[in-house]
Amino acid sequence: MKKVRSIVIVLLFIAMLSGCDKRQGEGPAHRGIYHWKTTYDPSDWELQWMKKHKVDRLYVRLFDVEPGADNGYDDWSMVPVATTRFNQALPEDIDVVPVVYITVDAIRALEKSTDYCLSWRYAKMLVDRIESMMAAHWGGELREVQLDCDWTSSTRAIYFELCHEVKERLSEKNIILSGTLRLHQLNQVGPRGLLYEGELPFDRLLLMCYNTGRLQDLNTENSILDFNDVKPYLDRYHYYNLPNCDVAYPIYGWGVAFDEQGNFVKLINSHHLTPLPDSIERDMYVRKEWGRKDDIVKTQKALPELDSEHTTILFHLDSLNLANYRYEDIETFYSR
Amino acid sequence: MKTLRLFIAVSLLFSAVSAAACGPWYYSAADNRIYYIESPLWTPPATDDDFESQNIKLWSRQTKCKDTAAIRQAIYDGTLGEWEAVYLVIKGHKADMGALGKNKFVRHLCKHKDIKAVKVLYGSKKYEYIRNVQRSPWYYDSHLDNDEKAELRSIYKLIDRDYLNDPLYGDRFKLLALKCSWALGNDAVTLLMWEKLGKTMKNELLHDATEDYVARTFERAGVQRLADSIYLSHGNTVELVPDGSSTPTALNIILQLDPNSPELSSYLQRYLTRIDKEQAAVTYGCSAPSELKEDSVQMIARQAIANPKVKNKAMWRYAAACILDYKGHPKEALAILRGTPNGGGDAFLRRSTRVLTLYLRAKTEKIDQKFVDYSVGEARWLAKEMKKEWNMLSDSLKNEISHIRCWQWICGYDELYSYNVMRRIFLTDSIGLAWRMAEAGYGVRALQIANLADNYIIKLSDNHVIDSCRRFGKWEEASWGYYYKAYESENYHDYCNGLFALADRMGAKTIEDYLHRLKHPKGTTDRWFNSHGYTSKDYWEDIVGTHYLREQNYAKAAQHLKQVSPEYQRLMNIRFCRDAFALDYNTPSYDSTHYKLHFAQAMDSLRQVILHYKDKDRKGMAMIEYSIGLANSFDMCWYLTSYQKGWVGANLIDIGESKYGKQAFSKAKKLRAEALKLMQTDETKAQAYARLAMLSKVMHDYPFTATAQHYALVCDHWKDYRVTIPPSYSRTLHPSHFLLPDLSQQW
Repeated sequence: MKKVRSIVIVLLFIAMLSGCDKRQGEGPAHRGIYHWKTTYDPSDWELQWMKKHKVDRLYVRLFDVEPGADNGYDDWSMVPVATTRFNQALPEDIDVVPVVYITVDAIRALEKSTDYCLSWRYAKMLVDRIESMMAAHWGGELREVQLDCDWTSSTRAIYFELCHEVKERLSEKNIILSGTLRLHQLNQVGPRGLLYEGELPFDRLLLMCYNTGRLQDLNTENSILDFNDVKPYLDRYHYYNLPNCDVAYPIYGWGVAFDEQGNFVKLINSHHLTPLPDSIERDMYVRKEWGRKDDIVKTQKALPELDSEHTTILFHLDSLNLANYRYEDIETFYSR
Repeated sequence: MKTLRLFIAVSLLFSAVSAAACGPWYYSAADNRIYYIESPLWTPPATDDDFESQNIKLWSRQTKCKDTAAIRQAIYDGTLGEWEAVYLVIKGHKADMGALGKNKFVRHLCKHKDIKAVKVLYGSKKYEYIRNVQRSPWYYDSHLDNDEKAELRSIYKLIDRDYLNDPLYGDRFKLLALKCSWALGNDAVTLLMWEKLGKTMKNELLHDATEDYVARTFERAGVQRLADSIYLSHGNTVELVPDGSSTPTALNIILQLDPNSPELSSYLQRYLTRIDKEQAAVTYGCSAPSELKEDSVQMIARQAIANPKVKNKAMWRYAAACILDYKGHPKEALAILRGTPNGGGDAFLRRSTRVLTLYLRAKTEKIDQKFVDYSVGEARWLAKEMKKEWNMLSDSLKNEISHIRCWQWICGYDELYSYNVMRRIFLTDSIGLAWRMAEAGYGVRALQIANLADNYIIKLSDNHVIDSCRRFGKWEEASWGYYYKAYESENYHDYCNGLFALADRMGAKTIEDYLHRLKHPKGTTDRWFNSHGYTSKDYWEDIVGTHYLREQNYAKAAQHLKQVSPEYQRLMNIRFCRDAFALDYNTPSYDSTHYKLHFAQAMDSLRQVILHYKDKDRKGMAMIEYSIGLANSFDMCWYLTSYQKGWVGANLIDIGESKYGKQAFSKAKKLRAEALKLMQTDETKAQAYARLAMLSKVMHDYPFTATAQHYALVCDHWKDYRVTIPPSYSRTLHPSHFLLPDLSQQW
């Protein structure tokens, strides 16, 4: 009997160990992708792509929030703009996370107002609108809402106040709030930064590992993602004491046009890079940029262990960009 | 324990400093608004041809209720909750009708059991409420069912089928049904309904109102041409502007379709108010000037000026000038304003144009005698306008304004337009016309104009008794005009206004000249300004005397300070608490009455001794005393030469840091060095060092003098010879400041 007990204990121990190993080796709990267009109308190819790669979470931008225009009658501090038009219903077999992008100017407009209840009011309108849109276009149960904002040290307080109000409203409905975090914002996080523990008004964070370089600088090698730009931040990652974190990587590209003097002229859509459009003059220099596999993989490796529920998200669902990556590349990105 | 002691010591030090450091501060006039096309107080006269009036008349005819005021109140002021209660009551339930319970129209409806009328009105209120929700840019019309749509459908339930053919209210029910259908987004149903019901509508007013919804349906379906033709046929320019349009879009649409629409002025005014507020924020440094993003409205204004169909060119010129000024081109703004034809615009706009012209000229033109004369004329005109405005105020508003104790806190009262703009034009910190006039050498006129802008309102309100106040131990009824005097320890006005800030920057001579003109006016203009300003003898004599103290002209200072009454000195918000000839800031002054005068007299006597005495020792001692008083008057006894210490407003002077303070400290230092060189006997030198609290020097250099022996007797250890002076006042008073080494270090 004693022998049997010992064997059972040893087996259980082995099972526990192998369970741990398995979780670490399996990669993220969820595979996600952003939909960042003003019309939701994915092609069959895109829908198939999602199925092929077992994408189980779709992050859909619903609208942007900008400073309110004086329409002659009402004085809105912030208004929703560029609302996504849904030509198709959202897929019900995967999790959908609505995303709202709030501009810094909108946050500044909110700050200018003397109405102390403004954050409360706008939080309500924000949540109501997200719920209305999701109810109209998706049959699933809403579990997460994401807010995206390129907040700075001067706009952080008012943005977080708004987020706290949103979080409170969502938590009453068992919906979690996630917030995007750009690398430069990491400077303000952690014991050495300005944020103190508990100030971050999010249940989860989304670390955006793209747009890491200076786009308009001629000397930048790749403004979309360059591991050398990311590394210094990730080296200090353990300082930040962040809550549960998801990570997003870029799978898009563009051209950055500079004139003879090295001044930034414009961005060129990746679809138009070969051949270059007529609007690009001969003496212009065009820097072609992509979310490169090497940089993504290096960044993934440099990141510390994330929690078991984390999602790896790719930006964004666009067949013309996705077609530039091999099946194995995408699988590599999703494997961690 | 040590920390606690240190904390207590620091707290005491700060409390000691702040107790004396009260003084003036004031609000700038920079945020007083100036761009006005139409009066904020103006409400369009009720004409018979607008929808509201005609609708009320129709209700009166239909219900046979003659009280049109009650109808207007019930229909336009009644809330959804109140009308819901009326509906319940008329159906036989009990409910609180709120304010409508006493309304004669509602009582009339209840009395005659006019349930159809109540259903129309309740349904319409419900519709308005839902539309308000739907109009929000945050509302998302999902084309699915939601609360708002369910509420809209519930309005249908109020409309029985045979109600649509009711001879009295049939057209009203048709209008209600059609607008609900439109709000539900049922475009096809709406058009079908119109096809069927439109022909049967007999009342033109309700027919046109219903057809507007048909136009909106076309608009939503993208058939703008059909929609516009309906709006235009009804003269409905408001509806031509889609919901959520920006001001430029709205102006453009209305201007194209009806270049003389009365709607244009209110759109323009809202826009000008916004840029006016932004400009104030820029003046305050709260925000940076916007990029030139307002080109669209400016372009519309230019098109309107060039359009021969536009009648009110004056309004467009005015708007264009405001935008140019906002964008930092006041000269161009003035040029466009000058093109306004004589007599253009209504009386209000003519007044606004005149004010804006003054404002722009004040910003741009060179200040010479001609311009000063023009400014005086305009100031007199504005004063007349102010008087008219004050007389038009209701008693309750006069009371409300009067209870704001510091007059410069009065802002945001649209009723006081002339007062607001006068302060903005003349008194805005540093850039105000009075400031520019003072800089250009017209100091007296600058003070006269600043006094008018700040204080004429006190004169106007002088007969307005507002409160009982305690004044010198007695309760008196106080008018606004001398309210500040009524408080025994506080003075809310004298030192917290733009006039004082301006005077604080001027030399004593200019203010003395102004005081002379107060006493002996040169001509009618002076007399007029004197009768419209604040001319308290005590106030002005004290300011002139203080400025002479600042300039170290003690004889002149004494002449003026003599004129200041002891009563007034108690109302200056300042305690003259320290002995001006002490080195230790804890030495209290023995008498605070005529404190400044006594100081001026003492300093003048010392000056006489320095100038005329031949005995070098006595002369030297006088120089030492003089130097102490001089340095003190700009440092720990700052209230001799200034009116504030600590927080200093943008244009008030921190006297210790001013050129006067720096000169005084340098002179005091020089005087002490000279005095010690001049003195002949060791005894006098020992006395001088003792006076300067340098006892170690006395004991070291002059040990055999009577002074040294005195200190040797009264002090039992050398450490006691040293006087410790707190660091906050050590800058000018510490002995090391005056050339001599601190010998205690060598002992």
